[in-house]
Amino acid sequence: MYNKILVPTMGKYIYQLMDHTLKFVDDRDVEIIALYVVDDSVPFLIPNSVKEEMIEELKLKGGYFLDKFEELLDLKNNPNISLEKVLKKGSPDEVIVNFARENEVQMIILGTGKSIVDKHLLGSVSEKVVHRAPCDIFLVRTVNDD
Amino acid sequence: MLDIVIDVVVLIVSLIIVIKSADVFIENISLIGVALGVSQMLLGVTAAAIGTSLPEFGSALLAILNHSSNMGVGIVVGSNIWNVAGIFGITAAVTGFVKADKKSLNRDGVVAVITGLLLMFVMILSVKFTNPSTLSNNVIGVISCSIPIIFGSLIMVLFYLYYFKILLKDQKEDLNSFKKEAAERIDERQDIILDSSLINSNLEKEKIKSKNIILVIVSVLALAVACDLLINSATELSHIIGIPETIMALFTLSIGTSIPELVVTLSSAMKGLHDLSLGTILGSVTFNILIPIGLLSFFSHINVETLSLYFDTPVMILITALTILIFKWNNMRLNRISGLFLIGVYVVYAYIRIFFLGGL
Repeated sequence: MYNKILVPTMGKYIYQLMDHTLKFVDDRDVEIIALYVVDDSVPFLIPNSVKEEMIEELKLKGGYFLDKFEELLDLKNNPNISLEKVLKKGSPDEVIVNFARENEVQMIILGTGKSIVDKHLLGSVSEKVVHRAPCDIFLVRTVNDD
Repeated sequence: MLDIVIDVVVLIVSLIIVIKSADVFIENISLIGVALGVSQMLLGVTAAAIGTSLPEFGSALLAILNHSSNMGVGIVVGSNIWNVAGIFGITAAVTGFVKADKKSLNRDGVVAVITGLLLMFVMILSVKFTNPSTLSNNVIGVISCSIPIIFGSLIMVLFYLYYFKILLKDQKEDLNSFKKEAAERIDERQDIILDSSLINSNLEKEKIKSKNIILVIVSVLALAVACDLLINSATELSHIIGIPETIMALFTLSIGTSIPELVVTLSSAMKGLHDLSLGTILGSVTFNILIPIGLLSFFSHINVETLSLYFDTPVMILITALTILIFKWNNMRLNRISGLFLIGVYVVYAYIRIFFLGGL
């Protein structure tokens, strides 16, 4: 039960997500997939050169946060956990849902992310994933630790 | 009524063409640069510095060449006030906050304020050294290719080149440190499974493609024609509706030509790329003044109106300085409340400028 867990991270709330993931896993043998999605959606009038720069910066951020995730997971002291780090490009909610479906993930651990104001102004990836995920979801109530 | 509708449609369509053709121009000129062996870093910094500012430059150039030279200063000063108060304000209000890196804020912020002061200095020179009997209504000076005014313009261009050199140096330092390491790490590492579309293909020196040359020529022509249409439709609209050309330049044209800055700043802040947000706005603020005004004064006459010197430019400098101070007071952040405050400042400025000072 819940041996394959997907933890999408966008960098924010990484400490809280990790804390809850470790508590949830406890001492069971689990495969964790850390996923960072490079959000490549941009408005029509954005210059192409800027779009490329954005993707490159997000890719670097993604690599950094996946490493941070691994460091916090402390694999030496948690030998029951195996980790796979994945960096993909696209619309975050679609990539998360499709990845979970294609890889037969049993659980997605997500942060609630934004405040109610931000959610209405910016939209919420978590909310979209909740409605379309092919598996169970563990929603961590995150608070801004920025 | 039909005239107004036609002019508004022409204005919107030409604005979109201006923005897209500037984009095509930058993209293809960069590819030609790669083929000619120009360093990627130099191309990258240039594209970032002028990429979003070409619409302002093109429309200011066409306004000045078309003898609507009252609009030239209006477009660049109006764009800067909108960029700082409007775009930073909207971005912080929508995304919750804009974060600044201390080094970038100190560098780009100080340069932006000095740029505003330099513009005032050149304007004052133009007032002192222009024969008043040659001036038309509301115009108190002309920035032109005459000594000593041209010294002021020369200082503006040289100051921009100096700023550009600093940008290049800082970019080089960045690349030599963490960014290069991180970039190499990601593409070469086996422990992160990468989407194939994210793997960098090495940009090798290729031959210049005729397609790139054609696209550069076509985009420059499109930019020139669309800027011309933009200025003409804006001038006609101002005559039909009965508002001064400067008001049209300060608000309609400046906000329109700043659409690239708005989408880049908002979108990058939403993705957490705050350096890009800050750099786009402050970089544009500097470029918008130093290059269009500094460079064009060598070739043409740029009228300075009373209100441009005594109201718009001081407001621009004050708003830029105020925004930098807000960042510093708030721990290098512009939060939602500060964003709403900046929007408020812009609305008050627009109200005073249009209804009290603009002659409406």
